[in-house]
Amino acid sequence: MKQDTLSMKWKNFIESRKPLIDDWKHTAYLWRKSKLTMIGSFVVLFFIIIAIFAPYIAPYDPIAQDLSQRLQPPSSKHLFGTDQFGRDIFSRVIYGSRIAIWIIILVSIISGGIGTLIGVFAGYFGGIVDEVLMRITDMFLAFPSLVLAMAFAAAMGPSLTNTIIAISLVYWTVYARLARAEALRIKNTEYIEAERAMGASNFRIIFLHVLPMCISPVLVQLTLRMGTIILTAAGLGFLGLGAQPPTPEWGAMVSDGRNYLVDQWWISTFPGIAIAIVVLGFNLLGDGIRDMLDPRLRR
Amino acid sequence: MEKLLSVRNLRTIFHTYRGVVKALNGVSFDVYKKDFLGVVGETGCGKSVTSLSIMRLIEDPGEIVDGSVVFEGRDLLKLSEEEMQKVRAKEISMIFQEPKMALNPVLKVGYQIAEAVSTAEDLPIKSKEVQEKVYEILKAVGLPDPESMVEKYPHELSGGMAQRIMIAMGLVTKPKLLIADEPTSALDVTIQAQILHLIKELVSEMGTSAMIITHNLGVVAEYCERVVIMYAGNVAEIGNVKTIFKEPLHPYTKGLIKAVPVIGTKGKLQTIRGIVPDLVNPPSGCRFHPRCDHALDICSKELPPIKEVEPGHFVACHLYD
Amino acid sequence: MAVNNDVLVKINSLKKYFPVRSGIFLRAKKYVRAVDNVSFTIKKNETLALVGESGCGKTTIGRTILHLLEPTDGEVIFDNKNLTKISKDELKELRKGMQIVFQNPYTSLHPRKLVKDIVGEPLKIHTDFSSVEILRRVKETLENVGLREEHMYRYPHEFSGGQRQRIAVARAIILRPKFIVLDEPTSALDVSVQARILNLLNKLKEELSLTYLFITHDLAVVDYMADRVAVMYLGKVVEIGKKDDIFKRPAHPYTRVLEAAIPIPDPFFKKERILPKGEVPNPVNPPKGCRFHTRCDYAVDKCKELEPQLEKVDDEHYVACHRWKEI
Repeated sequence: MKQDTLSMKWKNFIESRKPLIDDWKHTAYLWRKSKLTMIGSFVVLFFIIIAIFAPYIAPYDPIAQDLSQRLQPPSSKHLFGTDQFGRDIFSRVIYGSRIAIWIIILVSIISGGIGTLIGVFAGYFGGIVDEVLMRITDMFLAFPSLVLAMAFAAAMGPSLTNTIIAISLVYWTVYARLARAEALRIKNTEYIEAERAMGASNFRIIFLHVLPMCISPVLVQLTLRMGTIILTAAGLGFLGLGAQPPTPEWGAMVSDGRNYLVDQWWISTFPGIAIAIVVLGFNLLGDGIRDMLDPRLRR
Repeated sequence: MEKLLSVRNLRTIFHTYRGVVKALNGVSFDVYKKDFLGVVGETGCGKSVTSLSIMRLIEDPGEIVDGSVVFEGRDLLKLSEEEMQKVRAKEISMIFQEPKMALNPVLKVGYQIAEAVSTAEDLPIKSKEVQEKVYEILKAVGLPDPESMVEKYPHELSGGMAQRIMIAMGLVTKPKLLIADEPTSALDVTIQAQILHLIKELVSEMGTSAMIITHNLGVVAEYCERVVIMYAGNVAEIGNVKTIFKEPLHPYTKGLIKAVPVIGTKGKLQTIRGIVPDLVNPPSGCRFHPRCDHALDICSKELPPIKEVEPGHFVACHLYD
Repeated sequence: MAVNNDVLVKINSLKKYFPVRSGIFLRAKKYVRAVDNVSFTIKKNETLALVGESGCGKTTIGRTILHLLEPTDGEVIFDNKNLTKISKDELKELRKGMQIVFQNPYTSLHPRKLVKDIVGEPLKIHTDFSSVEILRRVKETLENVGLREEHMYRYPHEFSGGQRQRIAVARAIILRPKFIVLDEPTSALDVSVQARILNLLNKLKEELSLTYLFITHDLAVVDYMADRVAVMYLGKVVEIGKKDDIFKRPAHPYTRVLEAAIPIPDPFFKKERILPKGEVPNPVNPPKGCRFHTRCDYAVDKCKELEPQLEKVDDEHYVACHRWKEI
């Protein structure tokens, strides 16, 4: 008897997830059809694996200086060579992926969260709430994002945490606009009207019905933006406004090698290549996800 | 009666991630000269796919896999794309459910009609003849004040006006066949009556055949002479409208006619049990058999061929073997 | 105020104007008079059909009665309470008694929620039932509308249009309301499915002693469902009466045109051919006088100047036309 209800529950569980599984199958089908998306996904996956297993992959401590080994060209001992303090560039690039991923995750959560909430409130309530919130958003949008991020980072003092806060403060506007547009659309759908006809409170409608529907376009936009986030972080690092030495942040590493670029090209080049590849990977993946979620392709 | 178009064993499929949708499963019917034919069926029965297949407007992921569409002795499915383009331009016209989608939003209505006229008559677009012809056409489709009408952009038109313009453009070339895919489903009933009247009038004036695709049995009963009833990618029954409504043979046709409320209906409406099948995995044999009250053993095994049970009355059902 | 126990819904000179902004700086404010001075009552246990073409304001009336739209002027009295004058809490309480079923079952159900959550939502809002109790009631209600228990754990997109509309009906009746606005509940459905939904609605009306406001453009469906009919044209009720009065003795020229325009699915039916003239005018600038005069075969000078009021034809049959006696 007991087993019976358990298997029933399991069946119900599977049954209830069937549309979701179907949806995933469709997504996988579209994914397989797009070569570039596949390449992007593999690059990103590779990047994430490296970040997770950095201590096992990196042959040296990324911060440990060894002045006897300074400015070594790439060799079997130091795959990417060493920098002016004798630190192994390969290990630093590997560990740098951890910093990059940390920035991406935190910036996405903070800016995505703030942006979605503000956007949903503006879109759902409309009127004066919308006006005020959107004018604030416009103020942020009026400045070029890197300049604004620099201003924030300079004002708060250079550090990794401040980089993250600065980038988040710059990028939430994108998600706010997106979430607002989505909330505006959803607010006028019949199922929300049905919800109001039942007598549901605004609070209930926003958090249980409108917000969940706004999250997926924001998520797509987040993946599309991840490349840009890395680039901005690297830019701030390069300018000395980001993570401080000896943190192995890619932008700062490129900056470290500036003075040696002619003779010791490897110091700047390898972190630069890492930035380029990962940004490209995220962009390919983001484009792919956007296409996969395009309703014209989904049927 | 002389045949204008014969569709034989037409099969069209769509490739989707769920598998192959067998949208048309061997459709056969004829359109005669000066015919006014209705094609009816419910959502997903393949009536629109039929018209698009005739026009060869099926695009990837769709594909016409078998059959023939013989139009005046030529198989349209075997023509080159250029020849087919000529057929579409001069001999078969098509109008759609959403007339505004079919008009170019940034060009004035007058210019768009003039363009159609100049291609059809081989006259320069700016010539006086073309201008006069445009006014003539606008009057013919019942649009008041043609002088101001030619200056309008599509967004300034109501649905009814836009559909009149589509009809005008469709009939400019004096085609031999006009295919109208749900021409009035997006319009109000009073406008619907006007448009259908207009089509009927113009078509009979020009001696053109018309094929009206609709889900509305009322439209068929009131305007069409013959009707093709479709179900799940098959033709169920073909015949004269009066015969079909008086003595329907196919169980689906019977059910369909009884399910429509008519003013003055008393008692409960009759219904057809079950739902329309999924065309990725359609039922074997006759696709209607799971919903049919009279299904025999053979119905689940063999697809019934379409046969003529009396002159001009065709049915695809094992009950009439 | 005299309390009339027969009447469930009463609307008094209801107006609903929507502002449209135009001009370069969006300053030139005009109004679409979607509903312009409409009054009628709906009795307990009856079905009042509201008929008209798109843009006549029938949908807006339905929404305004449920207070989904704030009326510009006039009042709505539901169950002897004036909806325009009560507090938010009272309104929430009253919402239990009135529900709506929308036209398009593809957009009226939340696409990411399971059927059990969609149908159970009203209970979650208005009651503090345990989740077991809610499930039990959802199951019961689904069975009532012809769905099965296993359907509870699916998403709306797995269902056909007809089944979705059943889900929407289940959601509307789960709180045992007195009054349901049916906003074109079958116009998005195929005919064989339409018949089943109509039969279901009639069955539920009997079982749960419901009152319906049935909004539609299809007169054949009206004849099958309604007790009384109100015909609307450009924001006004032009004729209202018992179903037989409207169908057998239509007094307003518009009602006649509308009836003649409906294609009858019977090729042997011979009917009077009145082809309607022209198109529906823009509701921002409705014609002066009788709003139908631009399309009316019987219009005289008086119709262009003076707006006709509803006059009594006979018991419960009213018409707004200057010339109904003559034509």
